[in-house]
Amino acid sequence: MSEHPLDRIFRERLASRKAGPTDHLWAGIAAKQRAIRLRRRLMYAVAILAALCILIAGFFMVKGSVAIPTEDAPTIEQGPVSTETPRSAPLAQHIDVSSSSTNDKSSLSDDRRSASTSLASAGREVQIDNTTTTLAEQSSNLSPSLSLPQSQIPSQNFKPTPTTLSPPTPRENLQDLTAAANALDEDKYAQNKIIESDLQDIELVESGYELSLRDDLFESAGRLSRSKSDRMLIGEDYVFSTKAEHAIKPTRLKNRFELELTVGPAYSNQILKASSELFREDLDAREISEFPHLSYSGVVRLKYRLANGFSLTGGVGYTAIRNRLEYEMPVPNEDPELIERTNALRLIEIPLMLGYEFPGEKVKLGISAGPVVNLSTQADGAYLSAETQMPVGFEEGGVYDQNAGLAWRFNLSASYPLGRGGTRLLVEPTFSHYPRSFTQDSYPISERYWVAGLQVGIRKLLR
Amino acid sequence: MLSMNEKELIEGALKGKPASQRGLFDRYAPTLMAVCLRYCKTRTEAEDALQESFMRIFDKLGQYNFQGSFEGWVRRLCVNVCLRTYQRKRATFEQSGLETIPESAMDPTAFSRLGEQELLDMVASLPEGYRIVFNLYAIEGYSHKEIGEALGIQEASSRSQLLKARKLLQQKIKTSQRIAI
Repeated sequence: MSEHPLDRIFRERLASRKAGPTDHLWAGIAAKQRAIRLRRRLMYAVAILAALCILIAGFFMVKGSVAIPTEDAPTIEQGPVSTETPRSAPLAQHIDVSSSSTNDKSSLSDDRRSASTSLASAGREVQIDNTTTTLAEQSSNLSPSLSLPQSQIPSQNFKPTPTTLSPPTPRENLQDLTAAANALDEDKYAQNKIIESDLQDIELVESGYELSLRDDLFESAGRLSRSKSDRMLIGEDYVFSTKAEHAIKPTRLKNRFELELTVGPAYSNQILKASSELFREDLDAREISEFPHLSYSGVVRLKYRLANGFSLTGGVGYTAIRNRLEYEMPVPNEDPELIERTNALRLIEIPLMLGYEFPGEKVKLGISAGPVVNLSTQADGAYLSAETQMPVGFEEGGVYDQNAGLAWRFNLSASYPLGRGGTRLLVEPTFSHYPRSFTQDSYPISERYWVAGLQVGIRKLLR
Repeated sequence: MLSMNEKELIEGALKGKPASQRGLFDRYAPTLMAVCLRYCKTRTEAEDALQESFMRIFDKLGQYNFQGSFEGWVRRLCVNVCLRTYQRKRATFEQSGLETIPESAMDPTAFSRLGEQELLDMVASLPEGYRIVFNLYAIEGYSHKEIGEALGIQEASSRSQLLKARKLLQQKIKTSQRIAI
């Protein structure tokens, strides 16, 4: 098909034509490229940190739950074992925890609950034998404590004799103790679950073991609380025992509140949009002169733990969304000077979050999401005027609103216990979206943000 | 075939080096600006399209496999950006009631008296739909089928728009000649 002469003329004249763009065009492209590079770096950093959190959590989970295999796992039997039993031989242990009235802590109650756990040296098949009565049934009128048969309770001056039995390593004995601890936890006892994480620490005390149970097992997450001490003595015969004054009694959950304090850096992504094409130049001036800067935020929260791992959280937070403003200041007879200054949007906020914490070992992972109510917004800084190419202070322009409205926040969290006082280290990648423009309706450029950050802090169980 | 310098620039830009990105911009911005000026009504619109084109070029640079003309690749990408900009704005093709204007024979020498800028101004003055189709067909060499796919219109519509664009251009050239005489 022959080419139309008109088409040919236009193609020949115009196809290879060149035209120079205006000088500022590259500045706009370079600014956007810088923002993209910064955003990518931050995303990589957040992804790496999140992956590290997951890896660390996974490591502790696997470490805490894998059973040690054995070649000759013996038959499981109940009953007390001889203190002469060497650890190298198949070892059966009897863990017996009974309930009795607090008026007679040293006596053995008929309605006792026994958790019999027989363990092989390393094969670790664990059985918990739930007998006649549950703790819940007794708790209403007996106010019972858990104690041992008299014969098995070490005296107040109990001192294990090192020569009677060479102690196992804490790690080897951990599952024995786990079974015992679970026998004390009503829910877990009923479910026959063995969870090592319920044991926070084991210290070798001569030939016996002093066992410390994690505070929140009994006082918050579980159904039991300890009456006086958080320590129980494990005797040389490996019978799980309690001293009379350290008796454990069933009670209802009392302490559901946790206080959280976190702070950390954040990246704020600014989204500018002109209300119409008439304000294109104003938009361009801002886009080529404003760049993301290090933002940060902090929050104090009170967490109320609901059933089954869910929680409600409220608090007060402070967020500083920061941008860097760059512009050229003309200097007579010289090259223009590049001026940099920082713009900041300071927000006071109230987060209201619904959360869920996954069951785990020492490291616990959680998620939470919900609205963030903006109490006040204060804007400090300036923007570049398209007309004069000079900065105009926010206060002069009447640009920003006093309130940014509702934002939405999503948090991931990983926590790790610090000591025995119910305090946990908290690491929390967080993502917030501010769907409403921070600028006033009369200002032609809307300004929205999403903010991604990493918060680090502590969580403290309130007593 | 890419020159060594051009290949280095592309590889540098792929690694996100600002200097290489600037090098590519300096090299191709004039060509692409001319493309944008043909598709856009105003210079401001053309510069917006050019800026977006370079953002896309840097974003999609990994998809260029160093085979074929890099200029052809960036040019096509730029045309696509212009088309996308046009589609965002388009509600319906503009109609100007030119169906009754007969396509008359042109004096071949009439064009020779017209400069590039005048031709460009004529193209820029076309209604948006006509301008896009004329650019794609006459200058970029797209087929009506490709134009239909790119703009989401029927092939017949593309043919119709092209005919109307030619009629309008002929009319403008005649007017221009009369003024010159």
